[in-house]
Amino acid sequence: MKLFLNAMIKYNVVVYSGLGLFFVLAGQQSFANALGLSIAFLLNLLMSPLIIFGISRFMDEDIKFLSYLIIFSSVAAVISMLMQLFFPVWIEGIELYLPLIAISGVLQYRSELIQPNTRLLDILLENIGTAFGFILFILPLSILSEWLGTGGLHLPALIDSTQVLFAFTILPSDLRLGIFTGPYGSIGSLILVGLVLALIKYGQIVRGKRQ
Amino acid sequence: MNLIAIILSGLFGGNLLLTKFLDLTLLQSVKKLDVAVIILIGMLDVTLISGLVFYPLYTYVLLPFELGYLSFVVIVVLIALVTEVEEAIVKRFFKTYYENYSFYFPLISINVVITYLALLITVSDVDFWSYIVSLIVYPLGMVGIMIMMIIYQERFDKLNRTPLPFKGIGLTLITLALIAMALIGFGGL
Repeated sequence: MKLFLNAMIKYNVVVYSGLGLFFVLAGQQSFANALGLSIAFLLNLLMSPLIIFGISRFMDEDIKFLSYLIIFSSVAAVISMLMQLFFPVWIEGIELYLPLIAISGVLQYRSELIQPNTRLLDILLENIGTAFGFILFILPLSILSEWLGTGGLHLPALIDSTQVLFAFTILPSDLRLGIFTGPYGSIGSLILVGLVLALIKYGQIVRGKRQ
Repeated sequence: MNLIAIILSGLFGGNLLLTKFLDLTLLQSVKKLDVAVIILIGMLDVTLISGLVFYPLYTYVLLPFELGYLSFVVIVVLIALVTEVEEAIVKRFFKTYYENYSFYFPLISINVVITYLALLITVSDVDFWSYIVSLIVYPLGMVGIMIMMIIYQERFDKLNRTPLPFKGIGLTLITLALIAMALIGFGGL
């Protein structure tokens, strides 16, 4: 449990190492996209290290980097196809990002920690913790971002985009901010994530002073 | 698409760093101008060579034989191989450069911009010349922003007025947002 919590909070992959930051920025513009990306991230972090664990002891050091890349990209391509089959609406607009998880640095970082004597359960716990750390960061941000941009929250059904699982609006249209939605959404994403990271750093500084 | 539109989009309105956030990790790790230039050279030749190989491979082999789902794996392997060959050439002929910059070769082989650009033909119907121009212009636009950020960072450091919580990635992202506000307007062109 400590491994899981450490990977999720203490060594949060986005806050601690800045890896996967561009997924956070790209996926947090809508709640549905953030959910889709979270699922893809979790699946990649579960599948790839399992394969790496199985073959790492037979792997020659010289071809390790290239072999890992092939494994990561194959797994990411399969997961990307599965996502397009089962969650097409949730990944609309971010389809090209899904295979890029393979080369984002997160998987490389996690797989570097896998040693032949590491227990499989520990690897799984740490990887699930890493994925949940990512989810913990992206989901609240996506809710805030969508609320500021569209005035509410909207989650379409998995396959049919005309049906919604839930949708509500609470912010009047004249209070909505255009920089959080549509073609200018990237500006809002950068500001929001920048502010949140600064806030987290402020918390760390205050806690450091108290200790 | 019109070639001029691609050039404007790559440099300004559709800048990959500002609109797609690709390579933020690289932006964080590159702090010197000479490294940014080396990264640009590395990115340009790996992008061009792998793009030039991938275009006919995708058009005449993967698509006709309905193997499009292999595109991603093929392009990742292709980029890794091109980087390995380039690394071997630099190691053999430019030893001093290799000693100083060898750390950046793996960063090029797992560079998301190169992969993203190579994959463009799999999702959009671009002709050969538009594809080649995109392969040149988008990395240029990205490294342009990177160089701009390095210069800003030096000035911020000199002024030494940045509040502690904003030092590092916080300030970088907010500065990028301000640059994006100025440049994304070119998207309308």
